[in-house]
Amino acid sequence: MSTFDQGWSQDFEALSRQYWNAWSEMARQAGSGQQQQVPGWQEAMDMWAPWARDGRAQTDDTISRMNAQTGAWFGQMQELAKRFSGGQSNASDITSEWKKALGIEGGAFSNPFESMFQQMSGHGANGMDQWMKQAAPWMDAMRGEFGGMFNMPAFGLQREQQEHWQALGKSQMEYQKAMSGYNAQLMECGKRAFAKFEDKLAERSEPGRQLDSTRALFDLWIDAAEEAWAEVAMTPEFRTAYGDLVNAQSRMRAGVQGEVERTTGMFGMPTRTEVNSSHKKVTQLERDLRELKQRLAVLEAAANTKAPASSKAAASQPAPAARKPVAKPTKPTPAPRRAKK
Amino acid sequence: MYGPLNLSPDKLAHEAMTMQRKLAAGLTTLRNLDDVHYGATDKEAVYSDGKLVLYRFRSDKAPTAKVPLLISYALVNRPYMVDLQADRSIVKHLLELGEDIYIIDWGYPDLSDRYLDLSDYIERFLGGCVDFLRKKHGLDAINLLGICQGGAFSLCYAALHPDKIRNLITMVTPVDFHTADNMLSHWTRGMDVDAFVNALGNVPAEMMNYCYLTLKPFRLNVQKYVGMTDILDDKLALEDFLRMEKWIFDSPDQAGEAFRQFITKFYQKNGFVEGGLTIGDKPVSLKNVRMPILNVFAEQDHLVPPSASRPLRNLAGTKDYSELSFKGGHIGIYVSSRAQREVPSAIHNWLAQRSR
Repeated sequence: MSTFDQGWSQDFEALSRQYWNAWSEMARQAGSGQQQQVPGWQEAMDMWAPWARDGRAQTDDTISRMNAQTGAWFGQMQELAKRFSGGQSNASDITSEWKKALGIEGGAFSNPFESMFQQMSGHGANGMDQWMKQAAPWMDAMRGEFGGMFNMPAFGLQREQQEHWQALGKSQMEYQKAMSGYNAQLMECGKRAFAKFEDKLAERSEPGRQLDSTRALFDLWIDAAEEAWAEVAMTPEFRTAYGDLVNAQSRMRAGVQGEVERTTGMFGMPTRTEVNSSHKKVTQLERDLRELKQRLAVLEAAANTKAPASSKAAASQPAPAARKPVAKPTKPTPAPRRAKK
Repeated sequence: MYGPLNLSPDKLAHEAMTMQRKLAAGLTTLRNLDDVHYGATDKEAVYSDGKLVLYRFRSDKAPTAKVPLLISYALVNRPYMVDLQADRSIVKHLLELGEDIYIIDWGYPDLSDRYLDLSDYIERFLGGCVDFLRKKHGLDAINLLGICQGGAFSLCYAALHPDKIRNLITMVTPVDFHTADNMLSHWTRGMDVDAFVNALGNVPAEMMNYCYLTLKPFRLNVQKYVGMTDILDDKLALEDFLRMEKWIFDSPDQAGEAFRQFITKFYQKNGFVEGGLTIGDKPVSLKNVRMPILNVFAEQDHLVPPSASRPLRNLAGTKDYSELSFKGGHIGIYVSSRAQREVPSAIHNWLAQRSR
C-alpha cells in the first residue's frame, strides 16, 4: 500500500468512525429536541479535495470547481435535511429553515445567486466583477487621493490630468450603481426561488411523493432556483440591468487603460493603443495584399488567354514571378497554441 | 397529514456514508485515470491560412461519396466536439457510411488577430477552404455542414456563393436571433458592444464561458458537480466527464472585430430576419440560398432554441428544405448515444438522395 493509500485510508477510516458515531447518536436522540453535531459534506470535501488533486490540470481544475460550488450548497442542504429527519415538517418550515441556513435572518435578505456567481468568478471563470476586484486597490488609491475632486472645475497645469481622474472616478461610481442594480435582479431571483421551493415542497406532501434523501431535497431546490432564474433573466428589467453593468464596466476599463497608458507613456513604453494600431495596419495590409494578388491572378490569366501561345517574343520573356499564395495547400505550420492533438 | 419529507437519521446516515465511500473510491479512480485524450479519428492537415488549419479525416476504407463534406464549427468552442471519442463521434460514423470529411480548425486568436472581421472569417477562411476543396476534388461545388455559429457563417457563405455549395446542412444554427426564448440574445441587446470590444480587445474565453454557464447557473455550476460524485468509482464515466469538462473550458478568445460584428449584425439587428445584413460590403440574403438544405436542431437546446433555427424554412430561397428535430440538447446532438444512432445516418441518407 502506498503512502498515499495509507494516508487517505487512515483519514477516511477516522472520518467514517466519526460519521457512524455521530449519526448513530443523532438517531438515538431523535425526538429528544437535542441537536447532534455530525460531520457532513463540507467536512468530507475539505478532507477529500487536497488528496484528490494529482497535479494534472484535467483533474485539478474539475476538483476545484467541484469543491468550490458543491461544498457549501450541498453541505448546507445536508444540515437542513438533518434538522427535519424523523419529525413532522411542512413546506413553510423547511423553506424558512433553508433561508436561515443561507444567512437570511430577521427579514434581511441575502442573495444566494450573488454568492454563487462570486464563487464562479473565483475558479477559472472571469465574471464581470472579478476584474473590478483585481483593480480595486489601484482604484481605491486613486479615489483616496482625488475623491474630493470629482466634481470640481479643472484648470491650470494639471487641468487635463484632473479631468481624466474625474472621469475615471465617475465611471467607478457608475459601475457601483450598475452593480447594485444587477444585484437587485439577483435578489429578485432569490426571492422567487424560495417561493418556488416552498410550492414544490408542498406538492410533495402526500404519500408516494415525499422526498426521502438529502439529494432529492437538493435537486428540488436546484429546480426551483433554475426556474426562478429563467423567469427573471428574461425580463426587460434584467436585460437593462445586465446591459448597464456590462457597459459601465467597459467604460471603467477603458478609463483605467487610458490612465495606465498615460503613465507608461511617460517612460517611453509602447502602449496598448500603439500595438492595436500596428495590428490594425497589418490586418488591412494583409487584406490589400490578398486582393492585389487576386487581381493580378485574374489579369495574368486574361493576358495568357489573349497572348498567342506560339509567340516567340512572349516565350522569350521571363516568366512572371510565381504567385505565392497567402494560404498554403501544404503541410501547415505547427498546431496552433493549445491545439494538442 | 403528511409533510414533504420522509427522512430519518438512518436514511441520512446511509446516504452520507454512501457519498463518503464514493469520494474514497474516487481517490483511487482519479489516480488511475489515463490522460484524457480527445479527437478519436486520425486526420491530416491539408491546408492552412494564418491560424486556420483544414483537416481531412482518415478512414480505413476509401470514401464512396463523390463530393466532400466540409464541417464549419463555431468560433467559440473547439471543433473536436464532433469527434470527441471513439464511441461519441459523428465524424467516425459519417466516415463509416462513406463520406469524405474535412473540418476547419479556426485556431486560437491572439491580439494580433483582433481586427479580423466577419468578412475575413467567412470569405477568406471559410471561402478559402471551399475553394481549396473545389480545386482539389475538381468540383464546382462541395457539401457544407455548418454548426452553431459556424452554421450562421455557412448560411452567409452559401448566400454569397450559391454556386459553390452543392448541399447545405445546418446544425443547431441560429437564424432568428430574437425569439422569445433566447436568453443569450436577450442579454446582448442591452450591451454597448462597441464599448465592450474597445475596452477588451479580444473577448476572453473565460468571459464567454462565464456567460454560457450563467444561462443555467445552478445546474451547470452546482448540481453537475454533486452529480459527479455518482461516477467517482467508474473510471470510464469519469474520463468521459473530464473529457467534456476539457471541451467546455477549452475555448478560444474571440477576435474583437468579428465578435463586435457578430453581436451587432445578428444578436442585435437580427440580420437574417430583418434584412440589411452585409458581410464586407456585400449584401447577404437567405433568398440566395437555393441549394438543398437539411436543418438539424435540438429540441432541448438552451443556447440555440429550435425556434431560432426553424425560421430558415421560410427565409431560405431553396425549394428543397428538410428538417431533423433531434430529441436532445446543444451538446447531446454530438455526443449522446441517440445522436450516434440518428444524426450521421440522417445526414448521410439525405446527402445520398441528392447525389444521384
